[in-house]
Amino acid sequence: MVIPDWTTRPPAAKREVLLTEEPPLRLARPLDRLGAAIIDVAIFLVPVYLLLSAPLKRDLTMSFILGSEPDFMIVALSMFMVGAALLLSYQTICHYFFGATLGKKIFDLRVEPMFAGEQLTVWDHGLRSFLWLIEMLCFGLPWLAVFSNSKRRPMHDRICDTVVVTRSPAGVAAPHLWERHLVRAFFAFLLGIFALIVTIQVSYSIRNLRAERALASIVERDLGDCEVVSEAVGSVDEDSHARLKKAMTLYAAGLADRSCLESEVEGEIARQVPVAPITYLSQAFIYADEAEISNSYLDEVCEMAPGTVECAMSQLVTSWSDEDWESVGRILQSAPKGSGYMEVWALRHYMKQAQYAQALETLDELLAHREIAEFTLVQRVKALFNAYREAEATAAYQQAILTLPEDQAGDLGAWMCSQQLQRSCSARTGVACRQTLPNELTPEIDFSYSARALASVLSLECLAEKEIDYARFVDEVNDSSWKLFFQANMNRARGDRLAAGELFAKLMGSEQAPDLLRIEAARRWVSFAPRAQMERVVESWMKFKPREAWVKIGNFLFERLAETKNSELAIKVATQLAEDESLSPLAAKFLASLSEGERETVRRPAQAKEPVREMLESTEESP
Amino acid sequence: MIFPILQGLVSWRKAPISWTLVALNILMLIYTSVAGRKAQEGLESLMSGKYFLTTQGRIYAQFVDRAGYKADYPPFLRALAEKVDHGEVGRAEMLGHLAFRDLNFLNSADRFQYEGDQVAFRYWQKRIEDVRLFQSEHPSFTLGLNAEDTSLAKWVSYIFVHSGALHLLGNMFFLFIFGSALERQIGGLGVLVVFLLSGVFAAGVFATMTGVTSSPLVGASGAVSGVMALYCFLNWNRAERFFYWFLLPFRGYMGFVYLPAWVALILWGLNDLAGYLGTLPEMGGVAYTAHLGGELAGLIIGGVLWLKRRQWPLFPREEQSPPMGKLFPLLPPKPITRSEQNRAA
Repeated sequence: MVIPDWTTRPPAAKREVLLTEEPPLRLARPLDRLGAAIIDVAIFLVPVYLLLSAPLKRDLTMSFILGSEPDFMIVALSMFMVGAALLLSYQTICHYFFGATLGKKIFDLRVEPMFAGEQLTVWDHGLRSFLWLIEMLCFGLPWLAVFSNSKRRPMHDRICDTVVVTRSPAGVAAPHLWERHLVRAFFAFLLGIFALIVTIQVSYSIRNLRAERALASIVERDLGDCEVVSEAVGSVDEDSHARLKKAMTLYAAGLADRSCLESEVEGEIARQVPVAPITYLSQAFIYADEAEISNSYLDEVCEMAPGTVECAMSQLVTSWSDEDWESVGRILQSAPKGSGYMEVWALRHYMKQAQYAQALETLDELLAHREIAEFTLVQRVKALFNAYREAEATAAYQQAILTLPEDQAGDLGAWMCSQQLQRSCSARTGVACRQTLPNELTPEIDFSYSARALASVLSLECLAEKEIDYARFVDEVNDSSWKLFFQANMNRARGDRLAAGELFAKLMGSEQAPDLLRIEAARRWVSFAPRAQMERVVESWMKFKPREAWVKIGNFLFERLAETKNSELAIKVATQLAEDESLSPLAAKFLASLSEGERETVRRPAQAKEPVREMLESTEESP
Repeated sequence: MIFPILQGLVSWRKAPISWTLVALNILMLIYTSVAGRKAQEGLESLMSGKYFLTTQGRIYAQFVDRAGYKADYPPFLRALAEKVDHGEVGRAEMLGHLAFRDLNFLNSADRFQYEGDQVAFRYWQKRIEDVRLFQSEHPSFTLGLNAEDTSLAKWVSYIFVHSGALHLLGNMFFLFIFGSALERQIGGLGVLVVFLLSGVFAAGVFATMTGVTSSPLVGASGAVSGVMALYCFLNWNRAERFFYWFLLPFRGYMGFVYLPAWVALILWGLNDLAGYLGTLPEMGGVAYTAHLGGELAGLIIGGVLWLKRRQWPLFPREEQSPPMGKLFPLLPPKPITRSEQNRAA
């Protein structure tokens, strides 16, 4: 039945209708056919379809809102079937009885058999309509054959031996060569786009599959529970709020995000678990961005269960947000132990306040919480290192890298390496730097990871025989803090110490800059600042906010002041540090190395300040 | 895309009442926008809060589930409430939106005993008071037809209130097209009466078929539907001008076409019927039943005019295009004008 497209002459027994009709029929214009289709759809099919499918549409909305996927699919399929049946019956009936649909009538078009003497049956028209529908489902792309086929017949016409003709003189001849080429070019273009989309989609899927954790967390999120909590809790549920408590601990340790906490609260609602103080406490964290709501939850916790760990935690949050560190300390002292999340917040507080001895004690208390083992390993290394127990820190680091995931181990190594390189270039051969620093001499530095970037820069400086080319970094780096850092170094290399000092001071005072970089800027400024500028450096340091950085910079400052025999300022810095029990052993050693007269100067004002005197005496006794 | 244009822009002198009605609606929109600005902003800010909506959804889920109320709620709402009770947050937000339509629920905010997050419940109670306060100041609520006040004045005032410029534009376009054409046939007073009667009848049909909720019914679409239906009835088979555009930027694919007036009524009626059958009344949105009520009112008035055609003859109108053949002898014989009488004399 099908005739090939390239047929130029019909079989002997068949004569083309087009040759015999009087007046001669012409091929319908493609735009007229499109216009006819639009009229059919817009004037007749859409209104009737809307009416016929209206009850189904209601069911579709209902199943969509209720999230009933099978119902939704069934109703959607039914709606499609109604549409298809309407289209098929409309086209078949119109073509069979009238030779044209409403739209075709308006444009004076007609569907005719391709060959004289043939009669189109109702089945032919039905098949033609069915194929028309299939083509529509292919986004109408097969219809483009009207621009390439010699009789302007798309697939449905060719299979059914039909042709769409017009009596009006507005008909067209066979397509020109350029029309055919245009269609082919369009298809080639579409094929290219399709290939591109498929390639991107496949690579995206592969990347997604690789990130199994992320994928799993999405799946878990859909189920209403958080994956990290499920892993932490295991299969045994001690009490109905066990998951939420674990989630709070993980959240405190930064191993779960707020959405995870939210999904756990939703999970409790789904399981019809009664509301408890821990629920309110969690809500306070979930709505941390909305002060009114969050505070209401915090207030409710103590009203509901005074004297509990949840109440202590709510008080802690309030004091923490007020930056009332003394109250925070008092609450931590009196709070009931064993919740996990309270200990994690205590650890965070002690680390923040550079109280490393207490931090290490808290870390011991957290040993039972295996779900945050990775977090505690990292914190232990940092606490030991900051407490000037470097050998133990190195041992802890070596233990940690065996269990930590690669990225976390890398971060920790970079942090430790950068801290060690600040002291001495010999740290390059240490275990942390060996495992962190790249082998090549001119590595690509990612400045979004401040510890890694700082370690790399310090290492480059250690390796360079002369000053490294800071100007290159100024041009290449996008991050404003790092740019400022390199500009300051560039000025220092050129000998413009005043300008360098100004820039380092600016960076030190910048709250946007990472703390590591601020400490490094302060260290560098301190290292070359002339005696006259030191007073300003000390003033800046006194106002410095982050406690951990304050201690580190203070010790650098003290060492430098002691080196330059600037006793008056050294006493000032030492007093502040000793009050906080933050004087480093190295600083104490420097203090011990001062001459007797200088030491006397140091001792005198110290009499007024009890902690400093005690500190100095203990330094004298030490070997 | 096809819609009627009829006689297009008719001058103020030929259709003063249509012009006045359009102007009145525009003025009302300006007034309601200015007077209700603060309340609108307050309501929008409250309704956009996820926490508030989720909480309201959860409370409403318990409200629907409680015995005594259960029988009054449709199965869809009960199923949704059950889902929300099982912790589906996304649906809680949706249910929270739907809860605004339930006056019983809103009125029982202060005495309802909620089992669950009491902090959220107290927050909601405080906010719902604000909602009621904003509603009492909002012109859509004070002038629109809602469950709290169903007095006769509201059955008329709601016609002149629109929710926004687009809502107004759509209604006024068709009011002007059909109103001005009809005014030349039945006079200005006739258009006014048809407009108001259709609006009142539309509200009645809406109240019967969909039910008045605490979300107000506003807009002139019911009244405009009545005007349109009457015009189509009176000019059933008359060739009227329609604008069409077949989505192609070529000559012949866009322009004017003369079709019988019933085409407009059929297309309009089909669309409203499909809308009514295809949407859940609980979801609110377009008041299709009010449209259908308006159209019914227009047809009833048309029927009365046809029956009384001897006593109440229609005004003659200039023939713009030849009639396509009457479906039934609708229009009364053309009365003799004064100039014709003079000429005859």
